[in-house]
Amino acid sequence: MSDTILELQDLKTYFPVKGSRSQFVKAVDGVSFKVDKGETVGLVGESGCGKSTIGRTIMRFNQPTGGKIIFDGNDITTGDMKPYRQRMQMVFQDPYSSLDPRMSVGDIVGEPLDIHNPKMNPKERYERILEQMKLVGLNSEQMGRFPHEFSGGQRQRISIARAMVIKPEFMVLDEPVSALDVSIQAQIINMLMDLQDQLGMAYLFIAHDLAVVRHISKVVVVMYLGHVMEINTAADLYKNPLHPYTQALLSAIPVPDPKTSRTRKRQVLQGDVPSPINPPSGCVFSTRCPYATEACRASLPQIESVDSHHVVACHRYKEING
Amino acid sequence: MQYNPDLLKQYGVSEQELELASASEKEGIDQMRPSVTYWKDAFARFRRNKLAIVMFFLLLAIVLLAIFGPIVSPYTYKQQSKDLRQGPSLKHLLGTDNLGRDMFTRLMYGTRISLLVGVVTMVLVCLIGITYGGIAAYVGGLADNLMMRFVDLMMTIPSMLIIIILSVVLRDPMESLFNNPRFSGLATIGSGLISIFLVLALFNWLGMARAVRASLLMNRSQEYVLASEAMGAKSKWVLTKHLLPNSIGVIIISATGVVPGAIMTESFLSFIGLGVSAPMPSLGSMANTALNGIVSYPQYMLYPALLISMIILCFNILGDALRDALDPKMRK
Repeated sequence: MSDTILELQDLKTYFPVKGSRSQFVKAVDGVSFKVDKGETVGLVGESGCGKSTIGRTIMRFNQPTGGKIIFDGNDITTGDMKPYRQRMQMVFQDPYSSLDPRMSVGDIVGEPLDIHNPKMNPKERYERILEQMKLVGLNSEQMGRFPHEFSGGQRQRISIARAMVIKPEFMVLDEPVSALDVSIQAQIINMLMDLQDQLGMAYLFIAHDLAVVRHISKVVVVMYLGHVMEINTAADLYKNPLHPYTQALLSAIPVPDPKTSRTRKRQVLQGDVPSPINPPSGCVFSTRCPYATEACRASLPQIESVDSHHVVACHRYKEING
Repeated sequence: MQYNPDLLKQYGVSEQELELASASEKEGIDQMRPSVTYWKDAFARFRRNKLAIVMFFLLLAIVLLAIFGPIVSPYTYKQQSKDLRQGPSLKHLLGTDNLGRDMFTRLMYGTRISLLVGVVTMVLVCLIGITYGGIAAYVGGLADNLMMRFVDLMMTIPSMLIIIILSVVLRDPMESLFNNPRFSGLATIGSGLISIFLVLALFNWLGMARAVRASLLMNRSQEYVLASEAMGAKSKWVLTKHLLPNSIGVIIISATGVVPGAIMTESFLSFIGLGVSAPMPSLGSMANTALNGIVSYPQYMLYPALLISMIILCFNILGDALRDALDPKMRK
């Protein structure tokens, strides 16, 4: 048995452009990484870089155009997802539209049980729901209430309880805290980490906030325009970013100390993210990279291993950081 | 004061440490409502709407009178007496009309027809509209597009004109159909009425189909549907557990909106002489007969007109109240 719960191999998800047969939005274009059992991989990048599409493709809401998704040794790229639905779950970004307004909280949390085990006896069902609600910090009195009576943070707890009630081994967390207040974000993140310690699930944590990802993840994947730029352990990535894009992202994190903030060098990226319909030739980051050369524009950089846990996709990372 | 020793132990406090809760703390406790089911909750909200309760009982009274009144009444709708144009008396509660028929009995029969038209049209509209809208939303793509353009096309047709033409045209084939012994059961309802059902259903399902389709599509794109699919729910589960319950408000609103419209149209058709055939009364045809003597005998116009208005008002207010009651967001 391997320690990997999920592996993506050169995953591609393209969407056809409306009114055109030859053009595609290349939302995810050749992404490979692994998620180990019981661990958290953070997936970061700007809006529109394909992070959420990866999450949705793993859940098979979108059919992958190419590559492979391997879940616990089984290829789930095509074919029936039914055996795996119980083992992987997803938490959505918007805590408002992800809960059915007509269902009571108890029924929402119990829905996965009702789907997978419709003949479960009511007492056992009740206890499973209650146990799960307590795990996420809700009480039995709240079971009969409706979602609109809860705050965003509580709703997200309900979403998490629903996803966890069938005890999945792997969860896609699609920006679960980006709609919440900072103080609530910390509560939810800490709760997710506690639950991981207790129940041993693996997370794919999608976010655009590097500070949040740093706190929860063991490994961080940095994406840009459908491509992986750099993968490293969280601890090392923040100390030793090799890819110019990662460096730019890290320099954009605000620093609480004004002295350091004034003296540190900020690297501001010029321009916008290019359209994923017509990505730049060569390295996709070359249009905004301060170090780009002709060679960068000519060919797509291969993923290179720096050491056992660190890979980077840049032609010039050695020169830049040398 | 008795304390539960288990609870004391659980919270790690001794009896002496306990103190009475202040008023503000008690308020918090009061807010912890017992858990209720969706329908119980909706019923509680409906009950709080005083106007709707009044309308509900008014409509109930009208419905009961329309159903059982004619059975109890000593008169029939066509039975004549020698007392023409009598005023209200104990013998004839609302007097008699120009042919000596009991006004109250005729009104009850007329209401029966009106309610029957309203309810049957509503059922037909729900059947056609939900099926059509549901298929369009479920299949999507080109089929959806074509189906909705057909609805648009139907909507451009001036319906009242077609309804009038159709009720004239449908009369003869309906008559001959009823003369066929195999359908003799239908004849008791009356051919005029059946063709009214048909034409009303034909032009009223459009709004329902549109509303159902729009509601299904809107709910389809919500993330809770995606979450349900992530759990492994099949489309039947998603439809019955999420999409339909969330569309019920829309369906009820459209359905209760159809009833007054249908009653109105039936009254109008009967008023211009295309509805139920005499001597069977309908509220519209009674108003029509009253038109001739409106100056001398305004009460003959007043009674049916008042009844039509009341029935329509009841349905409109009840529809609104139901929509509010079925929406958990309205809970205070």
